[in-house]
Amino acid sequence: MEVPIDTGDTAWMMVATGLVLLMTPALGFFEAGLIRGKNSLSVMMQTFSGLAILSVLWFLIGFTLVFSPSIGGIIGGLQWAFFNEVPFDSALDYAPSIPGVTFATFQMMFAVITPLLITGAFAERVKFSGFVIFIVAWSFVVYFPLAHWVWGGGWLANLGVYDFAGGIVIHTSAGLASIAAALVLGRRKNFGPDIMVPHNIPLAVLGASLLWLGWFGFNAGSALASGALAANAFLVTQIGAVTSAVVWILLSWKRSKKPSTTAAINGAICGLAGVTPAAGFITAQSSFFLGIVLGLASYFGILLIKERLKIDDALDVSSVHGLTGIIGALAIGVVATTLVNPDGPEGLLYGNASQLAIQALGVAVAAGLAFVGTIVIMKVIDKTIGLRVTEVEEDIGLDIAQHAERAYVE
Amino acid sequence: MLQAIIRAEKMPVVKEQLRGIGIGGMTVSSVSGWSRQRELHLQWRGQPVSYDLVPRMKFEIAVPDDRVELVIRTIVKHARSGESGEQGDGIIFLSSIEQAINIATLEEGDRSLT
Repeated sequence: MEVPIDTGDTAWMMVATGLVLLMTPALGFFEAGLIRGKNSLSVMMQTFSGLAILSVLWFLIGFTLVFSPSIGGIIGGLQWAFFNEVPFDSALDYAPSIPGVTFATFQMMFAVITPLLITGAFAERVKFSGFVIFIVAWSFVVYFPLAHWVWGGGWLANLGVYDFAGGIVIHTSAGLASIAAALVLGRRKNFGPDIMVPHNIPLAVLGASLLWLGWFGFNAGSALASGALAANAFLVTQIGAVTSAVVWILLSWKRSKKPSTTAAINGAICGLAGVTPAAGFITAQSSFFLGIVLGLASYFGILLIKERLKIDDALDVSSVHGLTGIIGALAIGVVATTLVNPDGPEGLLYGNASQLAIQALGVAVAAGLAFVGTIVIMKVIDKTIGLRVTEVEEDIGLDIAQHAERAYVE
Repeated sequence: MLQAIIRAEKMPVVKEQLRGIGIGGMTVSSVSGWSRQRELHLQWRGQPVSYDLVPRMKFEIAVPDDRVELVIRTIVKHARSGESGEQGDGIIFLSSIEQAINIATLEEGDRSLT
């Protein structure tokens, strides 16, 4: 049955696409503000150039591998390579009321930002050439297969794994990749409180604010239409973000006796990442409690990974995105309800105990693929063109050493 | 009064080493300048651009006379590039101080430094 293109849906989805686009440079601002000034351009360059490189990759081959009809549930075919035959005047089955190109462009922004989340883990020590090879290889090894399995009609989707806007496909995978990347690379030189000096907190607040704004496109846009489902996802996103932010503010206040700005913005991002998979399946009331859990878990996750285990995931992507994405994906198995989304699952509290196990399987597959895939890719790059800058370059800073540019000139 | 102008990237290690030998305080500022060292070669949109002012860090330390030699040795050792040093590693100026007065305690001379 052919559904006509809906102008309201199309309008919202084009706005949502633009909002998600904004998140990638916003991520750059966020990261740049939280690291040392001598490396601030390097993360902005990685996110901005990554936006270009990964968009090209998606146009050439990514979209078709993820979304064209499945070959045995493993990967898509090649028929939509170079966006060939992706219709602008009719819809694809994934989103029956918007043009096919709108769906494909919306999904492009997700394929762009996912590998770039990992830049926060390996910040301040990776060669630009190694970074470029890494994001391309990671797209092929981790993102394209995983996105196909969950969203493109692959085997995880067939098993009933649900992920509304990317808690499994995006945040779990980027989070586990971040731990793997930090382990392969090793710590930054002089790892310790001395080097963890945010050089421009207002810039990080700007980045976090733009990420937050963009996240409405990310989550409410994942309804792939305007209307009730998008509206609920929009509210769920806000409530998850604010409760997690409040938790972080209180925890930082308790620990250091002063409430922290960087804690406030990190807490909001943790909430946003964590509600992402569940945004289209749960009520705002559930999101309130989920946000509290996300805030607590991510705060103590960082204490464990960074302070106890001394794994130098520079901006704590493993906790801010990974741990929260896992919790949000599992939360679907607990508090999802068909009252919100008739096409979604029921969770444990609504009488369906099995969904939690199915969600756990999806999380485990994403975590395993991302962790192992990242280690293999990074080892190969390290042994061939080299992954890490020299000690002298790390001292001078990546902005001058890798890009011959300075962020600030006195 | 000892003034040392060194490579910016050497600042953290020099600062820590000076603290390690028991220096009571220091002033550190970000400066730029030129001397015998080459220019700083950067780019603007792919076009090479050279700057004659190179970023450096400046230490200003009031040192009691009997410790001057140790402080100089420490700075030289840790501010050098490699064993023998390179052009651009910086310079140390030594001068005498007429008087030093601790603002809080009004202590004067060497006692003001600790």
